[in-house]
Amino acid sequence: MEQQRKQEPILSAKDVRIQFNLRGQILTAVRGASLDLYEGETLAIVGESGCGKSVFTKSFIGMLDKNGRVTGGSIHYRGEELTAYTTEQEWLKVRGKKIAMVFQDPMTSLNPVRTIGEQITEVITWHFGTEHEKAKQEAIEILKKVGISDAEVRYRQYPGEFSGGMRQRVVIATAIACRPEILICDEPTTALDVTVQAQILKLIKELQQEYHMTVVYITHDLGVVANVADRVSVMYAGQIVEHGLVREIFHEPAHPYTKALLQSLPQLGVKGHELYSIKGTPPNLFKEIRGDAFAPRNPRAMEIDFEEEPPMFQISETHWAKTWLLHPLAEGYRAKIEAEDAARKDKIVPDSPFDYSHAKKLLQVKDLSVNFKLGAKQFKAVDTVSFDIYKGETLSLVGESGSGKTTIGRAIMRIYGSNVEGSILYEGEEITGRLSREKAKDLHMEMQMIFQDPMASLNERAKVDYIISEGLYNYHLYEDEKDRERKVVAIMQEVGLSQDFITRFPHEFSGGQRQRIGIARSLVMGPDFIVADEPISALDVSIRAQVINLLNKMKKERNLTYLFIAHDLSVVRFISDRIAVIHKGRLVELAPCEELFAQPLHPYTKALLSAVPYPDPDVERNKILLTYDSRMHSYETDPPVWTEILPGHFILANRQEIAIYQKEIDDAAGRRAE
Amino acid sequence: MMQPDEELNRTKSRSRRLIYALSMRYLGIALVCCAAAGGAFRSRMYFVFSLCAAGGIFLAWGWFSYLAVTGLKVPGAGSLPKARPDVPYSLRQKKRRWQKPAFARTDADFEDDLTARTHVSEGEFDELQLRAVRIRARLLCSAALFALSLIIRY
Amino acid sequence: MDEKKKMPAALDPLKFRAAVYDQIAGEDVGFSNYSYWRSTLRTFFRSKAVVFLVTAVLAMIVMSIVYPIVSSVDPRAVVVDPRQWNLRPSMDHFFGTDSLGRDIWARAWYGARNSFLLGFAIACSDVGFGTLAGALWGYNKKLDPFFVELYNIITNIPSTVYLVLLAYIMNTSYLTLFFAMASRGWIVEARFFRNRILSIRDSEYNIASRCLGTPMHRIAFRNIVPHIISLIIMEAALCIPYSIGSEVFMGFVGVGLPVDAITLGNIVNQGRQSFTLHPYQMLLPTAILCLITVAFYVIGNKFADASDPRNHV
Repeated sequence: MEQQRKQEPILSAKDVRIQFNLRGQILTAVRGASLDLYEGETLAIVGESGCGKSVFTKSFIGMLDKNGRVTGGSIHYRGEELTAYTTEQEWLKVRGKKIAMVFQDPMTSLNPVRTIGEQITEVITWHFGTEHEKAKQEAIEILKKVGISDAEVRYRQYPGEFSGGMRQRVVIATAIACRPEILICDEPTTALDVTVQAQILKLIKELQQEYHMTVVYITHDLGVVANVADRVSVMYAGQIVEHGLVREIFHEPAHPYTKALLQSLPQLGVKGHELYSIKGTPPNLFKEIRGDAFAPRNPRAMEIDFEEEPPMFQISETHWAKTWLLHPLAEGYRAKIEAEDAARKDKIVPDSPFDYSHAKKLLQVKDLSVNFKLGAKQFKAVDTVSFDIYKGETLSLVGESGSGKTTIGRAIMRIYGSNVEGSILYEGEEITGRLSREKAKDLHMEMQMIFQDPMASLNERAKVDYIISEGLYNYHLYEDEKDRERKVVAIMQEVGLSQDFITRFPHEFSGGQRQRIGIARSLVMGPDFIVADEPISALDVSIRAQVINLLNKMKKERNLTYLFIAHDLSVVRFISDRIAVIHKGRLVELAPCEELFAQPLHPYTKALLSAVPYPDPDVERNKILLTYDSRMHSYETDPPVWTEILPGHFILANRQEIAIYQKEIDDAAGRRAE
Repeated sequence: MMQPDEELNRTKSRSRRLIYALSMRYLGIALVCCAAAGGAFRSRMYFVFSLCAAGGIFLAWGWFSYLAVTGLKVPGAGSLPKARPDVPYSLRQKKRRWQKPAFARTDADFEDDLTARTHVSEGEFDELQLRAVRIRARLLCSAALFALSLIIRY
Repeated sequence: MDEKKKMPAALDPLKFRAAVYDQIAGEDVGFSNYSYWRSTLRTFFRSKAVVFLVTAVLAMIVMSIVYPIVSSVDPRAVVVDPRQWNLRPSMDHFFGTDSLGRDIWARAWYGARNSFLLGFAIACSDVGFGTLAGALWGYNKKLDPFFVELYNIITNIPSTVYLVLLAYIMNTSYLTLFFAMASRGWIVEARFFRNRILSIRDSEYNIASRCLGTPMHRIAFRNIVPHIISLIIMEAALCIPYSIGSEVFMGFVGVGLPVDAITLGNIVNQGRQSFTLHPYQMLLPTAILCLITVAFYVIGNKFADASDPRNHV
């Protein structure tokens, strides 16, 4: 690191301002952001969505949308002034060749109607002028390098035939085909599973070593940052508010925004207590911002924050922050805040775990299978799954995308008709198959679902009023119009929405608010049991905390039971009592929350746990990534059974494996006894 | 993992699809030219004659490209100069085009799960396969043109 | 460091104390009242060109309907007197007369009416069948193989092939023209709507409705139709210039509608023969034709942009 300081930066952006012209209004997306990039380093830019991270880096390669332009500052790259570029020809000397970019959605970089091989070959011939046949060989080599097996066959396939993780690998392949100096990765793994994410991050690291690239990550996931970054820049409202080495940012954050981001991580929460959450959303950049942009959302802002924009204060050789808290005059106030924080931390005691001795079974799932027809093929999305849910608990269902976890949730909600086999009992009564209208009505009032995507789960063409009252309309659960309105307003207040929102359309709300509308829609039916289908995975870190808090509050107040579906084990630990792990349609392990983390048995659970990013650079750097391959089991002769290996701890294993696991448990118990 | 057999079948059925698509494209162009010729002379007979002529041209084209594969060099008929390579898709600034009307929309304009089943890109094949496909498409087109000239009365 | 310089000279030490935290300001939404259709129309009509084109198209549609009813001029009336032939545009004949002394102004509006009728018929059939087939296809994944094959067979044939072949084999009439044009468009529309309906069917708000026990008719009218109605309008608008253009093309390659049919294609074609001597006979109807085609194309596209919520501000 120290030598890096002495080096000249290869790319240096100074006071960059980027403005967009949106139908007559000027939006200043980036308001004087500065950044230096040194050879071979990894820089992470973090911040909520809407902070201008992507826009800022897109300006390095001239990929701003048509109505946007750099209106101030300079971007120097190897002696070239990039802001002076005007034509596409000039940009193409840099874009792709020197600075390449990987986007969150791989399909923005892939042509859906050309084979992936062609697209890589195209890049090579375009850049190096290589003969077609030779370029093709090189493309296959690169495909192999990014970890695509069967490269010759895959060469001739279309992006649509690849899974999300594989597509991202292809995009990385097209990006590195030109041997760029700088690789900008814009949320490269946000849409991917944790295990795939870990592999992709590892791949980028290896390629970085091999090609001596400088890598810039843009992400809102602090776990990823801890894993990959040498330096971190925190961006808020179009400005870099803090930058420093990764350890400095994680261990000694100085800006209130950085602190808030770190505090709102569920990994750092204490069970049974509210998570710290940042209220509101990043500011509207159409307006002029006065003072510190974060002040309105900062409960501990100072008066000066609303009046003057703070300068960059230097904390150490490498660590800078843009906050008035570092001003000598603020010393007293800073000491007071730190004392308060320390005092609060000491007071918190985690809740006692859920008591199962008197718990009643609310929902029983027995040998549930869900089959889908794909063309002529039958496809088992869920394969003989059995579990119980007790009244008042939170059971989490964790697995990768495509593992069938959402299918289980929807099967319980009776979305699939004849595809479902096996039985589901709710309060002892069978709910699969055809039900009478009365019975169906009762179930709709008892069981409800909360959805993942705050954008897709609300009907864009309906007002909040209709969305929330949809269930009320269906079964006429109100006396008159007034009564219905009263119910809607009451539930809106309960989830923390102003009643003025009732006549608005979902389009106007932020992700967190939309999610609250979705929660209100299901709660207005007065259910006892809720299937929460990844309600937080599509949200920013800060908003996650809001929604988790709300779910916990509702659970306490209304005595709800949750089936919580998630792909991220770290979030699940904070809210669940028991965790079930699912892999390719089969449950592989089910155990009380802390037990699963302390003593995972199934190799898949272990792999999943090892892949979870943890927001601490020291932990992240030293972790060992385990991989799981289902071929390691020998299930042909000795098929696995769903066994209770310890009280309350279930596992899918055959006899031979049970013996191994048993030994593992005994060893661990022995170690503890010593 | 794809078995070699399966792969061969895939290549076969996909090359058949490409032959069909290509020959129809040729046919479309040929028919417009013929119809224009017929229109210019205001006579159905000229249309039918030009169909025959176009059939002959395509037959010859197919035949000569077959000969070219087998090694015949036609003097003065070198291959066309290679166009400069396009800017790769991933580096293009503007990817979305204007909304096309339905008649001009091809399957390249749909980005959905059916793309791989409705679209055949030439990049799926190597040079030799492509030449074979083109020859067949030209012959098929010429056959269609001859057949049409017999069907249409004048 | 230069930021230091920008710092105000004197800072009030009293300002470095806790400010009152405004709960409401922290939760600010930053959006005003919004409605999909209002915003769509506002975005649509914001461009002056669109306002002009929509007005022009509406005026022409009204004119082509009203003129044949009101006017007493017979567009087919041939004059024997050669002095009435090939007249230049004047107050009596706004567009002049053609080589048989027929009033081109009258013919243009009759032709516009017929061409519009043909265009609307094609648009209705393409988009109508397309939507229905698309809904069927989208709701039944089992139909995929069947529709994909059909799609491959139909769309790989260029539309000119249908037009020319049908015209030559069955002779041109309004009906063959209609069949030739309608035979290909519907399947493309079907795939377009299939994708939309599939994404609506699988989208979470629709699943949410089913979890709430919403009956099918309300799902159709609240969840599906409002989301595709703007697409239907857009697709229909884009269909019209195609059908009008195709009819002209047919005339151009010599297999147009019979000469006694009054359509824009025929008028332009007849004008083409005397183009060198009397260019206005072709130019004036062509102007109308171009205006219609371009207007519908631009309107369709602008509407597509405007109906996308991402373009609403």
